[in-house]
Amino acid sequence: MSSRASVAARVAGVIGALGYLTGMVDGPVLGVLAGLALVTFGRALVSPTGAELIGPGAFGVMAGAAGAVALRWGTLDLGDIRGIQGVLGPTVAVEPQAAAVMAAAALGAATIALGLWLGPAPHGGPVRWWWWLETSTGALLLASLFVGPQATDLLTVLTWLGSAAVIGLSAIGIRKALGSRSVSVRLAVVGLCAAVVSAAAAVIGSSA
Amino acid sequence: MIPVVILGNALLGLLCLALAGAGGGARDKACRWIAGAGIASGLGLVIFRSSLGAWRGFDPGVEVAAVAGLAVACSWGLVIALELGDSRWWIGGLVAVTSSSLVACAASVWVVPALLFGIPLFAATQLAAARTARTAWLAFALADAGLIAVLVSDSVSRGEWSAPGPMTGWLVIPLMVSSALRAGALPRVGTLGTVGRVAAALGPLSVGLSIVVVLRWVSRPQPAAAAVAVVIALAVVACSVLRRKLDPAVVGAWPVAFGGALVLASEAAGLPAAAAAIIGCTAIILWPAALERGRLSRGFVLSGVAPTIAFGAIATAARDAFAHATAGGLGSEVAAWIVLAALLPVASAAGVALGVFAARAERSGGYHPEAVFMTWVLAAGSVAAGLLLGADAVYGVLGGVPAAILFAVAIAFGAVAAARTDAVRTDPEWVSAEVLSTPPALIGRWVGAAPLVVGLAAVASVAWLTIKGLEVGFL
Repeated sequence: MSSRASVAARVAGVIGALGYLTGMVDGPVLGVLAGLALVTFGRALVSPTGAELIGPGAFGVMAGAAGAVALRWGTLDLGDIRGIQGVLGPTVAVEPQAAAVMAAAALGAATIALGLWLGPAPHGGPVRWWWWLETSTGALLLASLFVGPQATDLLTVLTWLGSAAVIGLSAIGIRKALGSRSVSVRLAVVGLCAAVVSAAAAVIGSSA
Repeated sequence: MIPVVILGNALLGLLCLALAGAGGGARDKACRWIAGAGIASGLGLVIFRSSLGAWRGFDPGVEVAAVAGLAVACSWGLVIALELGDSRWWIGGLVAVTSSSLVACAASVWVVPALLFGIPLFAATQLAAARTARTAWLAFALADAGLIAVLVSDSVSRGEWSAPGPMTGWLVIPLMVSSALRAGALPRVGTLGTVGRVAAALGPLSVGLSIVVVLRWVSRPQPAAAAVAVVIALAVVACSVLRRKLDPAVVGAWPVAFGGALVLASEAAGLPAAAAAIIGCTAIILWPAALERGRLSRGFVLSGVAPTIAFGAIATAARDAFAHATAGGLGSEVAAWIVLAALLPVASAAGVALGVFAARAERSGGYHPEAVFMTWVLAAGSVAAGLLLGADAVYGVLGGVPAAILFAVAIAFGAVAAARTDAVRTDPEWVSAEVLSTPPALIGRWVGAAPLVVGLAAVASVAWLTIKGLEVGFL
C-alpha cells in the first residue's frame, strides 16, 4: 500500500510543481512548494528507516530559500520573481552586495539540500526516469528563484534551462559525495544548510 | 436550519437517553442511527452556512456556522466509530446536548443567552471527562471559568447585553488561554487528556468551541500569539519525531496548536485552518482504535500536504504573513510577522515529517473497523473540504480555478500511476516510530473539588448576570 501511495504522491507532486514552473498556471511559488511537499511525502514513505527526516528537512531548506528570494523581491508570485530577474539580473548578482552574496549562499545551501533530498537513484524501471524528472523539477525551482528570467525568447529559455542543468548536476554530484555518509552526517548537513538559509533570509530581509 | 439543528440535536439527545433501558445490541444499533442523523445535521449546517440568516436571537456568521457544523458532524461520527461499548447511549446523549448548546452559544447575538446555552455544553463535557479523565476535567473547568469570566466582565464593563465583538486588550489573553486549555493545544491537556477514553467523542466539539471563541471574540490577526502557537506545535513534532515515539495525546497538539496559530495569523485562513484543526483532532482521537490500519490516511491528514484543507490554510497564512512582514516599518508587531513568516516553511516541513512517521508507525494494537473507515473518510474529507468550503479555501491562494484544475489533473495521473504499480508489502523493518499510550497522570479524587468549586463560581456569575438582565427588563 505504501509503495502505491508513494508513487501516487510523487507523480501528483511533480505534475503539480511543473504546472507552475512551466508557466501553465500563474501563481505563487507556494504552488511549486505544494507539489514538492507531496513528492517529499511520497519519497519519505518508502525511504530507509532512519533516513525519513532527511527529505522533509531538505524540503524545509528549499522552502526557506524560496522565502528568502521572495523577501528579496517583495513578492511570492513566481512569474513576478522571474520577470524582475529578467529586467534587473539574477538574484545572486543584483546589488546590494550583502544581499547578493547571501543569496548565492542560499542557492548553495539549497543545492546541497536538493542533493540530499534526491536520495539514492533507483535501479532501472520507470521509477528511475521519474527520479530524473524529480531532480529536474527541484533544479528548475532553484533556477527560477535565483537565476532564471521569464522565458520570453530562446536566449532566456536557454539561460533558464542551462542554469537548471548546472544546479541539477551539482545536486547529483553532492548526492554522490554525501550519499554514502551516515544519516547523522547528512542530517547535520541539512541543519547547516538551514542555518545558512536562515542567515541569508535575515540579511536579505534587513537590506530589502 | 438553525432551529432544526438546535432543536433536532436536543431531540436526538432525548432519544439517546430513552434508550437507557433498551437491550445492548438493539440500543447500540439505534444509537448509531441517531448518530447518523446527527452527522447529517452538522453537515447541513456546513452546506447551508451562507443562507442561514437570523432566527430570533441567533445569527451565526458563515465561518461560525461552518466550524460548529463540522464539529457536530465529527463528534457524531466518533459516536459511531469509537469503541464505546455500553457507554454509547449516554455519550451519544452528551454529544447531542453539547452539539445543540454549541450551535446556540456560538450563534447567540446576546451575551446572557450565549452563557446560558454554554452551561449545558460546559456541564456535558465536564461530566464526560469527570467519569474518565480527571486532569482533562480540571482543564475543562478552568477553561470554562476563564471564558465565562471574560464574557461577564466584558458585558459589565461595556454596560451592554449584546455579545461582544472582536476584543482587544488584556481580555484577549485569558480568552486565548482558555481556548488553548480546552482544545488541547498543549500535550495531554483538555481534549487530549481524553484520548483513548469514551469522553474523547466530545473532542471535536471542544475544539470547535475554542475556535468559535477565537473567531467571534478575539481581534485577529494576532501574529505574536500565532508565532507562539507554531513554536508549541513544532516542539511537539520535534520531540515526537526525534524520539521516534508517537503518543496520540501528545501529537494531538500538532493539529490543534498549528490550526489555532493559522486561525490567529490570518482572517482569510480562519475557516480552512479551523476545518483542518477539527479534522486533524478527530483523526488523532480515532488513532488508539485504528492502530493497525488507516495509518496512511492518518499520516496524510497530519502531514498537511496539498491538496488537503490544511495546506490551503498554511498557504493563505503564509501569504498574509509575508505581506505584513514586507510592508515595512519597525516594531514588535512587524518582528512577530517576520518570525511567523519564517516559521511557516519550517512548520510545513515538520508536518510532512510527522505525516510520514504516522504513516510508518508501528502497526500492532487496536483494530476497530469503524474507526479505520472514519479515518479514511477524514482523509477524503480533508481534500473534499477544500471544495465544500469554496474553491478559495485551498486554491484561491495558489492561483484560483487553473490551480484547482492542475491539482485535479495531477491527482488523476497520480491515481493512474498508483494503479499501474505493483503493491509492495512494506518491510516490517521500515517502521519508523513506536506508538505509545501513556495513561493519564494519577491524580486523587481531591482534584474533583477544584472543578466543582470553579464550576459553581462560574455558574453563580452567569446567574448573577442573568438576574441583572431580568432587573433591567432585558429578558
